[in-house]
Amino acid sequence: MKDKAFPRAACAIAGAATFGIGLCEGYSALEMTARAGLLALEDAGLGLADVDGLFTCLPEDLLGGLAVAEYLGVGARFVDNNRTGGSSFLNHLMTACFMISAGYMDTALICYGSNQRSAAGRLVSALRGSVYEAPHGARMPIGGYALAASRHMHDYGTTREQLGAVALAARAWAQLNPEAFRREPLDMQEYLAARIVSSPLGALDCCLVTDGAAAVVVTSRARARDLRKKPVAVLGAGAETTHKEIAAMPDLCVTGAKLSGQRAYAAAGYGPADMDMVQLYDAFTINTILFLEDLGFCPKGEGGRFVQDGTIAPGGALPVNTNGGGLSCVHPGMYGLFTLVEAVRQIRGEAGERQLAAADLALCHGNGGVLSSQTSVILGSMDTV
Amino acid sequence: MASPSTASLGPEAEYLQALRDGRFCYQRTAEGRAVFPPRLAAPGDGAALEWAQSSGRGRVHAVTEQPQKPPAPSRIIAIVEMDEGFRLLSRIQAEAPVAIGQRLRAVIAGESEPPHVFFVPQGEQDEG
Repeated sequence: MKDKAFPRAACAIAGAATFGIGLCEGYSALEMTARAGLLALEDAGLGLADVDGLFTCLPEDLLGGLAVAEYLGVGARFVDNNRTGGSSFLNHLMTACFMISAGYMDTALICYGSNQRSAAGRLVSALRGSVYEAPHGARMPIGGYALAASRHMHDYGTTREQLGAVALAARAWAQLNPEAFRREPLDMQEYLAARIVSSPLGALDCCLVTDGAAAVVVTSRARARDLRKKPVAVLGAGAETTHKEIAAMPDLCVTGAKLSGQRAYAAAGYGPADMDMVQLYDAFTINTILFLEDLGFCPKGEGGRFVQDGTIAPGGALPVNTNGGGLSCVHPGMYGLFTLVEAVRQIRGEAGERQLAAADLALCHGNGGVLSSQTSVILGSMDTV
Repeated sequence: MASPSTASLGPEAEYLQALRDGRFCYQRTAEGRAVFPPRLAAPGDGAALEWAQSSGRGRVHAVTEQPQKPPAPSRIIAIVEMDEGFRLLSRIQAEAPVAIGQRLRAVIAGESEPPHVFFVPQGEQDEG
């Protein structure tokens, strides 16, 4: 069956790095991307000469894959510039695993960076409205997520306070992460008082706009065993795309994460109950609720009630976004790659004050567009292989 | 059939031309499945499509209000479910907030560029 075709544990993440989280003045997006790539290779104990596949996309350069290939002098055997929004990098990992396990390449570098906080001062989005959507002047992408949230509230009674619980959990995790951009305390009163940007979503329902770069190095598990750091196996992956513009989403309350998750679980041979953590793309608070439902952690419609009492916060039963997520740690336009880096750090036991006691299995989930592209990846320690 | 007449154009240009002529059209398959935005073939199965004119009646499926810089009023953005069974993103011109289920009537802004439809509240609230 197709879902089980993924080369389970054939590949591993051997290196991971972030760079310039928060403010990184004086660096271009390309330089930040390259720096993260070099740091991830150093983390793995590999050099540029070991890289024969490059997977990247840059925020404003549609041919950024070529720019990074030239800059680092890597990727001649294959460059993938696939861009499905913030899910791109989990798609990159999926492709890289297939290509490495098939023997076309040995080592892939997946990297991304953006200086959009210091350079543009606003979210740089690749979204462009169609002739059907653009004339209405809707603020996007937030409008798309707000529409889904309005429907979730209508159908399931989800409340602003439940959305707020997602924001508070992310902030509590960020307070344990020295790298996170927003670490000051946040309480429900402050959350509820924040300016509404696109009802029901307010300023504190939105991901940050920061600078930041990340990279991971992927190679065969056999090769990764001999490298500097403990390998983190790629156990499963799956993807699903349902639409581009929000009006075409088949059901505003059910995302493609339902299928992408099922595919990743089938490939890995693990289910939601086995996961020690979830690292998901929280562009807006409603994302966390939708994805936890669709990825099988609670029934459809129960996401709000699932998160409301601190279940996903530090000390809760299901740690979610242990770095602080896009809401409180880092969001340089596309966040997906940071889900992988944080899972690697947790599985290796490198997460410092926020380190989880049990950290063998992680579900990483990327989202692109307006709930359009969904990609799930399951990472695990060597004990889980 | 209220078919846009200019067969040498692609479906998008045909749709826009019909709006300029005062008609809000959508497409449907022989089985009656409504398709929007206009396409060359039905998504998923490639079924042939024919044009039909919308009644312009629908209701709010999902809605968000986006405050603007004063003194501009908030912009009300909605996904509208048309009675014919297709959905589109649009804006609602209304003095008061609108709820999911609110009945709507389409207004054709045929002189705008690009031409488009927006909606005004009309009549009762549906179940949603």
